[in-house]
Amino acid sequence: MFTQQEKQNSSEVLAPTGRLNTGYFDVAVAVFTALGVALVLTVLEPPRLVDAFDMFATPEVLPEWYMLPAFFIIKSLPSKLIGLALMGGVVGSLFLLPFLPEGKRLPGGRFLGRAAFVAIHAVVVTFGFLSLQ
Amino acid sequence: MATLNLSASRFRQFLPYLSAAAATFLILALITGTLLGANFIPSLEAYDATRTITEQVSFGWAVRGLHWWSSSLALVCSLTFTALAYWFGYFRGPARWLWWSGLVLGLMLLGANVTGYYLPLDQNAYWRLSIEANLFNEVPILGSAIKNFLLGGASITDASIARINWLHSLILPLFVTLALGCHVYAARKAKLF
Repeated sequence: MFTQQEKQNSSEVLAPTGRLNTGYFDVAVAVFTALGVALVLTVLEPPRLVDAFDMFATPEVLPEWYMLPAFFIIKSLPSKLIGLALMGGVVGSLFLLPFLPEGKRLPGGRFLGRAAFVAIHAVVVTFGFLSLQ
Repeated sequence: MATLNLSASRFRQFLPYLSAAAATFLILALITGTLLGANFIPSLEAYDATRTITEQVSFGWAVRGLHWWSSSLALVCSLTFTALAYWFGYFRGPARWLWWSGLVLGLMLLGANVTGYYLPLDQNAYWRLSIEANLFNEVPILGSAIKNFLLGGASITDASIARINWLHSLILPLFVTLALGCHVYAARKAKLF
């Protein structure tokens, strides 16, 4: 029915060069999803406001989720100083990561790196849950 | 070099979504934080001020809730960025400045979350401030100086809340914005967009 040339011409008309960039659409979806998540969480789980502080009380204080693993490390080590040094060491070693030699020359290569990734994340999450106990 | 290019293209797939979400949370935190600042009183009466914001100010509960959740979610985005960059090995070569600026940014976001937790000065906030200030006191030599800097004195007074409010609402947003500028510039230099 159509020759190849006609097909090409018709598709050019249907999809002109100045059409909407779908990349912007994706980003807009991400932005509105983010806003929606924040709104839903605000309504369903509003931030706590417990009693006014009392200097003479001795309440059971649990830190926020992002501090739970650190809390567990400090709680389970004999001295707070060791815990602090360990945490400083972890952050410091993240800064030194770009100086790590390329993985290909190591035995195990890429696999070792990925195993370390899974292990580190699993351990951190476990520490967090352990301090909830 | 081939592995780097491959990991870069994989890393690039997540970027528009994750960075759009992170930017949304950061801007939301900035806007709601500015609004909260209008009614917040940085002193030992901070609890009453927070109570007023939550219960009496129009939509105060929503502004406070959005500030709380957007800052938490910004931290989640930051952790996800770090995990993805590590997973795809995207921290070497041209991306190393991206990695370093991202780490600084993430640490400052953590700092902003921590200082923000103290400000309502309820039972949890007061005791966490006390415990964590004493934790820094354990650091040899510099310990008491760090504690004095955080508390604006030796113990928790009006000055401590004013100091933490200053850190939370002026210093950290300023430096987060600067670090974000560096981060975006580094991403541009690493040809991520």
